[in-house]
Amino acid sequence: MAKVEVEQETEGQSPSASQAELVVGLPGPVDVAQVKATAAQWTGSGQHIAVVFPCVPGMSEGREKLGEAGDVWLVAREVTAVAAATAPWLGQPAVYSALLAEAESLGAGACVILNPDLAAFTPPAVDAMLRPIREDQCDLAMPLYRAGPFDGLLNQAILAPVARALYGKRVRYPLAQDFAVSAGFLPGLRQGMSTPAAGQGLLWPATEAVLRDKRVCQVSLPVHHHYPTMGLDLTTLLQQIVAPLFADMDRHASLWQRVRASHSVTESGGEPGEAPAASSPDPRPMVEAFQLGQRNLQELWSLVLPPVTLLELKKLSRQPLESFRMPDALWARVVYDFALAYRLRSLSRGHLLGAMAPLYLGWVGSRVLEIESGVPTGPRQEQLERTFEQNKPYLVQRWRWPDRFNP
Amino acid sequence: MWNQVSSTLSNSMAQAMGRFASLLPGILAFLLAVVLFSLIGLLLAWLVRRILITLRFDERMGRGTEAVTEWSPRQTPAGLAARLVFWVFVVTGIAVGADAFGASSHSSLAEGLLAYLPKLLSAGVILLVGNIVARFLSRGVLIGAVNMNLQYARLLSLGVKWMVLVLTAAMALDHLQIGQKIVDIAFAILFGGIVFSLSLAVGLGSRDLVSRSIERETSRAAAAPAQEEEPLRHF
Repeated sequence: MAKVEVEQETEGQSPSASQAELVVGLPGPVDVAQVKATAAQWTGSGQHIAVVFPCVPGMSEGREKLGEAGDVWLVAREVTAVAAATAPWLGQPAVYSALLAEAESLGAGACVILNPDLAAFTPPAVDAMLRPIREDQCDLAMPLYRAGPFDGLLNQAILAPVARALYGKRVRYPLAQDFAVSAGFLPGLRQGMSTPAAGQGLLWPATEAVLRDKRVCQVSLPVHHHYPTMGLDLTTLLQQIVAPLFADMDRHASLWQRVRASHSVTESGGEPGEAPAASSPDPRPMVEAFQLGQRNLQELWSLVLPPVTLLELKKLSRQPLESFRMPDALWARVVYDFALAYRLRSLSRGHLLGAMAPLYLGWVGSRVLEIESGVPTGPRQEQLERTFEQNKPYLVQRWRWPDRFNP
Repeated sequence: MWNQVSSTLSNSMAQAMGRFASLLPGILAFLLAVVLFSLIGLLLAWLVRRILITLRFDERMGRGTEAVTEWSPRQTPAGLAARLVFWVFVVTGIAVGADAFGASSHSSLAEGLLAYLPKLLSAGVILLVGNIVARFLSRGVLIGAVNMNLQYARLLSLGVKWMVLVLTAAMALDHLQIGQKIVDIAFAILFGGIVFSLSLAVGLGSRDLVSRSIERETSRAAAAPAQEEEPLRHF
């Protein structure tokens, strides 16, 4: 645990509301010493900055001034009702809400939320995130990470394509842990997290921006977050990441059914490039997991998927490893059908995501094989996302008439 | 002689009709109670559902009730509460009706049947709950086993399903007091036999397999900290 070094709040020490031009929020347990060391780089910069983070166990609320200039403050805030997540790197809405509230109360001109691993907590990264907010009148700046072909596969397979098809904005990392918010969007984003259903899910900043008709930008952020998922069960991962996406779809159904096509968002900082892969994973276990699921989970899949999709999956499972490729349209329809089943509760929700795991592994196996055969990931991802968009009418029709529409 | 037969028959018929007529008020009272309570139950269930939907009960309860709705996935918490209200009223109606029927009837057969009715109802509930639990557990085991890459996933799932169903049937029969000792003994033999054969199978037949599996798990756990790079990252 980090050593508690933030001083207790005293009268007259706090910066006045107009003093905090920028609030940097760190939504998780942080190493206070490292935060201090990095935040000290902003002292004397001329802009008033408050670095806000939730208290770690054993720490009480407080503020501390850094340096003699008095323009940088560390603020520790007590946040209650934070559930212990299995994947602690996923931000808690209660924490985000507290940080945004603090930014509002300090009258911040902008708020930058950064991953508590502090990888992006550097002056260049923060400046890059702020530039579109200050210069281009953007309301939300989302990051473009430098990722390898086998990084963020859930994002590639489900999050990014679904978010783009549904809400019409080509945001590459809709569940990013680093983003910047303008003062005008702060109340809206906080309001989006105040509903009981939203409070139990995850924060989707880009979705909230689209809901409130705010301008979204993307910024190249050459940082790499390492999320240790090795010991984490894939079903748990799907439940923690994909289930909130499906719940969000249900909540905003009236919005996304009206959205047609997608639009690119302003990008700045250039293309972040692709990080080299350390080694290529073996696709065989993934394809075998899919084939095992195909043999055993027919009964459950038939509660979720229409007969045509089941037939296509059956054909796919018979393909030899070398030619194993999951068609994009098939994968898009599978994801949409599972989202619908989540809404209709065709299967208990825990079981539903568990039954989806072999299908997802099939997609991962197919993607690994494609990359090994030399297919470039960027255009391939674009093609997948376009297919999700093209299949959106299928989702809309099934969503509206789940019993009638059964191709 | 024909006159005697005819008179005996008409007397018997009159007696039977008389007994049936004496049961009619009871049957009518029973039906009236059941229908009345069902209607009240329907009305209250509708009211409860409307109120809970207005109060956004499903959203507010959130994850707290996920565990409940997991067992009956098609039901939302509000739907479950409304259903519960309805069925409480139906059962109360049956109990009140049965009471009214018993008060108006003096037949020993009817009294016996009435005394048995609560047991029948509880046995039905045991079977229903057992069925839901069996389905839920078998699906959970099937999905878990597939995701653990176990080739015999379906066998495991079927085994769990039938174990729970057999246990439920034994409990229901025991509750109905049908063949109590036979059911108890048969169940004990069956369950004990399954566990014994499994222990024998693991202890004798798969000893090497189990030890290899434990060794593999241990070595994997020991090697885990040394791994620096994951070949692929889901998030």
